[in-house]
Amino acid sequence: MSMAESLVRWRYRLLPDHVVGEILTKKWIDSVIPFTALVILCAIFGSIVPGFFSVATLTNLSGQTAELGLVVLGMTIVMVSGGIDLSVGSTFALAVLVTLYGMNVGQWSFGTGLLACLGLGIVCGAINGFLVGFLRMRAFLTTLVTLIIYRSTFDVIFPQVSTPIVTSGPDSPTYDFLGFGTIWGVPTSFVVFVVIALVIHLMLSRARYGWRLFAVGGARRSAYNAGINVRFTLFSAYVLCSVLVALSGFFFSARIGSAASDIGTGLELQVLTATVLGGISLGGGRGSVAKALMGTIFVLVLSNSLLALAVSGPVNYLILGLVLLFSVLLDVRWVKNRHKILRSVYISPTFAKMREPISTAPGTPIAVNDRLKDVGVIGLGVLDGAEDVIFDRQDRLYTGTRQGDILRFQPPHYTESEVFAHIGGSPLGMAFDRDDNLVICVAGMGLYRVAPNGEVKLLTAETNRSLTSVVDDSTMKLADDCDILPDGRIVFSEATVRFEMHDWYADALESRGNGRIIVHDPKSGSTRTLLSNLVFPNGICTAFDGQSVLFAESWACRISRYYFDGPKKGKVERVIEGLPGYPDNINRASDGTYWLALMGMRTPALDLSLEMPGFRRRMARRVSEDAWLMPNLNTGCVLRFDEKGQILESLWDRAGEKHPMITSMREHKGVLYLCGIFNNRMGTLPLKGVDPNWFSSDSYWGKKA
Amino acid sequence: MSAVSQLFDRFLGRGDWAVTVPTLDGPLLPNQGLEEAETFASLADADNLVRTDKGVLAGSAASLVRFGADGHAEVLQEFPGEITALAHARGMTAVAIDGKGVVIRGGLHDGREATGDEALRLSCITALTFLDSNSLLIANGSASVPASGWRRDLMQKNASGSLWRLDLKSGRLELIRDGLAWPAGIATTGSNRIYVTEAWRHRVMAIDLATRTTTAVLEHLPAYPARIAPAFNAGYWLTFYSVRNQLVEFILREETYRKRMLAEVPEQFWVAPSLSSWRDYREPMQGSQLKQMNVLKPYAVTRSYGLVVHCDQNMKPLSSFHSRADGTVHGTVSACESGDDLLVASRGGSRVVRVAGAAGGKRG
Repeated sequence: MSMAESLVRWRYRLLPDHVVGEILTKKWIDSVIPFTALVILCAIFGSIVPGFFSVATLTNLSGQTAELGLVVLGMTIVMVSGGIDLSVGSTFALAVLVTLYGMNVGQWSFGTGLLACLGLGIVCGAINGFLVGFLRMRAFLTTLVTLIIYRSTFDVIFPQVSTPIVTSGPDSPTYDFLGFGTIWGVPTSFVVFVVIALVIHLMLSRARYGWRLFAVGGARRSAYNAGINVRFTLFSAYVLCSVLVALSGFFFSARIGSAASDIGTGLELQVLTATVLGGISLGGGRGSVAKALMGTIFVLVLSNSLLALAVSGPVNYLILGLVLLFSVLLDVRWVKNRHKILRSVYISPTFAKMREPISTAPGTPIAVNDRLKDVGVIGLGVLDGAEDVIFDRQDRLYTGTRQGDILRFQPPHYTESEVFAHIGGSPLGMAFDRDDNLVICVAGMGLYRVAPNGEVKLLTAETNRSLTSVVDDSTMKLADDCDILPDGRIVFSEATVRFEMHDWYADALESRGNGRIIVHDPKSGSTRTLLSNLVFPNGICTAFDGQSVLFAESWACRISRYYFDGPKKGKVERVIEGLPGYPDNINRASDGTYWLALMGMRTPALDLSLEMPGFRRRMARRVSEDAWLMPNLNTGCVLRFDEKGQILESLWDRAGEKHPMITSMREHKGVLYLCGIFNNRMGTLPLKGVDPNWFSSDSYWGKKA
Repeated sequence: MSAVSQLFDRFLGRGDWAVTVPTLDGPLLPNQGLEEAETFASLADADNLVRTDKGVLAGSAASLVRFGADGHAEVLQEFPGEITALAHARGMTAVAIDGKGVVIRGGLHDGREATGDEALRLSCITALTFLDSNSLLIANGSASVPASGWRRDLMQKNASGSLWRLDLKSGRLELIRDGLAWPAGIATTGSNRIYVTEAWRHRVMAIDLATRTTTAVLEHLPAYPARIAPAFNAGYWLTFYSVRNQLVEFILREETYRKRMLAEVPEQFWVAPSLSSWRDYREPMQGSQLKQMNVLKPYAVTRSYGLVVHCDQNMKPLSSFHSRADGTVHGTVSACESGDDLLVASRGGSRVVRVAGAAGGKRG
């Protein structure tokens, strides 16, 4: 191995680029940019603003956070629902007016004042919500108009009551406690705010109402079609928003005790900056309380620090506006390009040097021949996605379809078919257990069992999560082939944990050990991973020795043996390496050997590219999937090998007219049945010189009386 | 600045680094014209169709054959090497032998040979055309490979082809133009202008023999143009090696992979255009070529293709005949009119097909 090759090999072993893509699929990745921005901002102002981290500053900040934060949370709810509320500033002013008048002039109790204030919020929100939700007016224009209406109302009333408000004071200790008190040194209002934020967080992320809000904001029509009351949901979002704004006004009144005529003006700018900067999308359907908090703190730190640095108000607003503009730009670009970035980063090929393939030259056991040229045909025009085939004790033939059905064909001619069971997903490998239940791997769903009467039962769809996984890999993406151990445990392969079945070629392009072998015990119901980091583990077959299983790793072109029992228990041995094609299912043959399907063949051009991960990565990004270099799955063949891994014979369809791709084969009573998942038929090949009564369930479980 | 913008383009896959391929559209809209055409004759390595008064001549590896009207082939002569180009005029047949040069059979200049000089041998003649009875135009595809090494020349990104005029009286060779990226076809126009295809640059050039000025008349072709045959109505039949393939374009920009592929992979298994497909399981497969329900989609990307385009006298495409990814009449690098029919030689399909009625007035 050359120096350069070793370097490439180690670079791909030590730097796992696939993790980058997996991190990008995480939901919290949206918050990374605002969080970084916040940290940078604090670092900058922390170093230049005197007393930035002092207790007085933080107390002041937490008080303000409670007030601005409530408004931002309200806005978040509206924005998640796909709308916007520009009238928050005016609603805030009205709420302050009502609270101050009631508490100072009217000498109301705390409860009366709070109720009156929240009542005002409900009224303002209901007006907005009615117009936007029920009359379906544009949120932007509508709330712009209500902004003016509420502000005008305030402007009309305020001069008449401003003098009495200033000249009198409230008479409620609770009210004062809310404004000036502390709980364990933390301002009361902030504690209340944290509680409210937690409640809203639970509501948005865990409760039915939150899910509906996200559904309406993300895709209004789909939400409607799913039966969600879209109009009421929108209406309620505006009401909730205004109630939170009113509460914020109540807090403000309690803390400040008086008001100026310009109270609440420009609040919408601050609030919008906070929400958008936090990563709450203007398009709706994306956002969280944590994001709202980050945005709030960012805006407060920015404006307070600018104030401390004696930057004038208008300049302060100018900077805030620029930050908003920038965040909107970032929001638009991020939402638009996120999936593109993810797509181009997710596929990360690795270094996979292939062994020299076993020769297929004439004279060798794998020499290309035409033995599959004149095979019989079953299910032409009926089959679509038959990956595997199996027979029961009545000689009935079972196979899966792309639509998720299990078809049953009746002997002796196998022309009549019926749907034996419907599971969904893509049924792949099959096996019969001791009690004649059909065990099936279903891609996208997991491991299933169908009883002889057609009753479907999910056996398992989850295994233990691996310690180092970034993305939760406990659910099964591509259960591929299964077999049953003598003690009844079911061992099955999951080809890849990184891709769905229809993206199999992306896994081939990566050629990393993304797959695993899992064992399920039907008695205890437990499922756990036996072997991981396998390169597309595919076919699996319990060996005749009763203490090991043979399994194929497709993209690594090798067959291995795993001992589940006996002196070598837990060990893995290579049986065949350097296959000229990509091994798929392995099944028992009548004479104590094994049938192996090669679904496709290796090509020198692809083998070369496997040593060049960078080339494959660029190809995945630059070239259309239609033109990607792929394993040659248009030529397949069937091999037979013995316990030692010696290949004995091969069956080919040289021109690929009938069986271009072979994913499985099963010997049954002297006939070999051939399947290809992309084929429209099943082939039958009478075998010469084999036991004409051999049947695989007998081989596993013995003859039944 | 240009180095910076080159790097930028390379990173983003723009400009010279774009691997986009023009689509077959307009007059090049795919059909099954070649695939559905009847087989005129079976002929291994069918190439170089030339019409003479006594019948249509063709090359089949080292044999020169002549077809009767019924498609029966008669071997006229065996040559010591593969015939790579033919031309016929006034009883003279010019025959190019791969790696050797050109020889004239019959007519005024019977026996005249040209092999080029030491500096540049005529060892890769891809096309011949008589300009008049005393001069022959010769396209030499490359300075470094024989004509059969056309794929190597493309994948090596060579541009060492040249265009020559052979004076048949004196035997003097005159260089018209060099630095061409595989000139593969020549056509005369009856004036000083000639048309030359430049395959690896996907275009057809017009060269003025008097002033040597060169202009591109047909650019950005979605395929690699080969020979040009005259058509009945003063237009031309333009033939092609194969269509372009996005993966090939990409590999042409991937230096490490390209060089290693040339060095380590046998030529028939390269990711490169080809005259036929699916001869061996070791040929590379691309995504859309995967057979679904045992069917290879005609619109799949492909390394080999059959394409003949009818152009007017200004090389503007008018119509076309195709054999698509699912077909076998591929590698159609030669065509000629025979009466009302168009004969097309498919090297990949080892046969000559007859597109009935294509040549006689049946055009829009």
